[in-house]
Amino acid sequence: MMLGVIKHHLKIFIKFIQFSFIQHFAFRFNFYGYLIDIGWLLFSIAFIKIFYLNVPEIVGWNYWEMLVLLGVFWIFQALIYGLVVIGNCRKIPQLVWTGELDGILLKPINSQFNVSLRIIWTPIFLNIIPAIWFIYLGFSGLKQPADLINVFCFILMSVFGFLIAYGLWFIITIFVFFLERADNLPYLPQAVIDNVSQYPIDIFKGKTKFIFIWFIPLAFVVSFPTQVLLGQLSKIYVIYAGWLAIIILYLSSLFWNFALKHYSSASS
Amino acid sequence: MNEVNKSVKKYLILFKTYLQKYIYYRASAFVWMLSDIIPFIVLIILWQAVYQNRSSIAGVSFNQMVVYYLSISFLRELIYTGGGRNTISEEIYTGQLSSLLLKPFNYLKRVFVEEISWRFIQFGLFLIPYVLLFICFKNVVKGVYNFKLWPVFILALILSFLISAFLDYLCGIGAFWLTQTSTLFHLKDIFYWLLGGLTFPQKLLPCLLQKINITLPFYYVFGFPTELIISNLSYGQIIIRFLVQLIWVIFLYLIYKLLWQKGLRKYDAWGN
Repeated sequence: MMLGVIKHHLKIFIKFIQFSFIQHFAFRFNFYGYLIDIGWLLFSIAFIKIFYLNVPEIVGWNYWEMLVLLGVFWIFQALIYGLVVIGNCRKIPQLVWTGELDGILLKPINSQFNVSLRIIWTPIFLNIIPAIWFIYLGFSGLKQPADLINVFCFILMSVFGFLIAYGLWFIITIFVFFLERADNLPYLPQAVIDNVSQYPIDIFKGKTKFIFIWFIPLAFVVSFPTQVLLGQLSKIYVIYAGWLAIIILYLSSLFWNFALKHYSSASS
Repeated sequence: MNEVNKSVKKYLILFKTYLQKYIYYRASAFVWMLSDIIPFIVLIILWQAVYQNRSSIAGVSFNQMVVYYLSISFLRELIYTGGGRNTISEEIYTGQLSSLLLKPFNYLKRVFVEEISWRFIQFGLFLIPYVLLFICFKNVVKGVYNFKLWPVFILALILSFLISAFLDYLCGIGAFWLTQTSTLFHLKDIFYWLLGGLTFPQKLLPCLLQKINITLPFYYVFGFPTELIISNLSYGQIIIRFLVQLIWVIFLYLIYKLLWQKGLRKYDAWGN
């Protein structure tokens, strides 16, 4: 039964991807749009370069390790923005206020799945190419080949990290059901998740660090997976990441159902 | 005199109308404010970790660094303009511009009034969190500010706002020629973050980049007024930079006027 449901949703997810590809390739490649991403990518490198011109290391991370972290961060960003944020989370306020959500709720699939993955922003996946190149450059500079087990644990932990970030993003976004005229609410988790996860978690100390590891577990999004890839973190953290992802996804689904109970359609 | 009074009254009514509109969107303004502060707080935390065993980096102490980020984030809320993106390019694309050109007010002045009313609401909202932030960092903030130069600072701030506005509006009127202007706005933002001083104080940039940077407009939007108030510029430097800032305001205004006229000649809209 459960397997059937997963299979059904997986099929729909593939259809969503196909549909998004067709939609984006129907128009000429948006070169200028891609220029923006390249611009921010160059900015990230310049940012790190200027930092390391003035200091030799940041909380024990040298330039090459930071380059690996930057690459992982860009992969994470491409995936979360492409799959969940641009086409879906940012549209939730509009769905709620215009009453378009009704149509989604009537469909015979899980409504959270539908609002989270309906529209996939495929062009942003191109950013993964330079991001992998950053990781490669980082490892070349470190003169340390990547260990296969580390790579496997890194991929697994990154998936969990992605789910954690998605869950947090989604929970904050669905506060729109209770707030009036805060259509920019999805930009609030963006500011927190982007800014906290792009640096090593060790920049935070004491209670703040503890919160970002166990309560708002953004350490598991980019910093810890990078440390696992570099072989600097115990693999037990992969299991912690799995548990945290399950808990946050469960909380997001509880909150979604709670919010839906308070939803009164705008159109009917 | 009567004409002037009439004109002032007209824009005052516009200001009040926009103020009412933006009061309605106060929750949205609050979210923008929070998401604007967060990157700077994280940057302060990052620097705190970097300064652990160091007293200064490139001649900048940790206290100066904290004050720098607090000030620049505060000034950003005051100066950063969004009228080009949200108003001008939208109105050109949708063709709303046609009816607005027929109304009895100057288009640029109207955008300006709308901008100021939005800043007004933002200012009211962010004053409390910033006062709290400054109280939190009161030991760090003490003695770093140079209030002797406050009239110059206010003047520089007005010029910064004008540079920010004209750069923004220039990107906005790009809509006369381009099918989408978001690239222009993003490029402008990248320059603000890298060269405008939002990510680093000017002193931390490589020497050559510093020299180039003080001839570009981006530094004069956020970096210059911030450095002016935290007292690390000589009188000679202040005078030269002030003049460069003034030249940029005039130059950008003239460019704006020229392109606006050219754009209007090219502009056509149907069904309005």
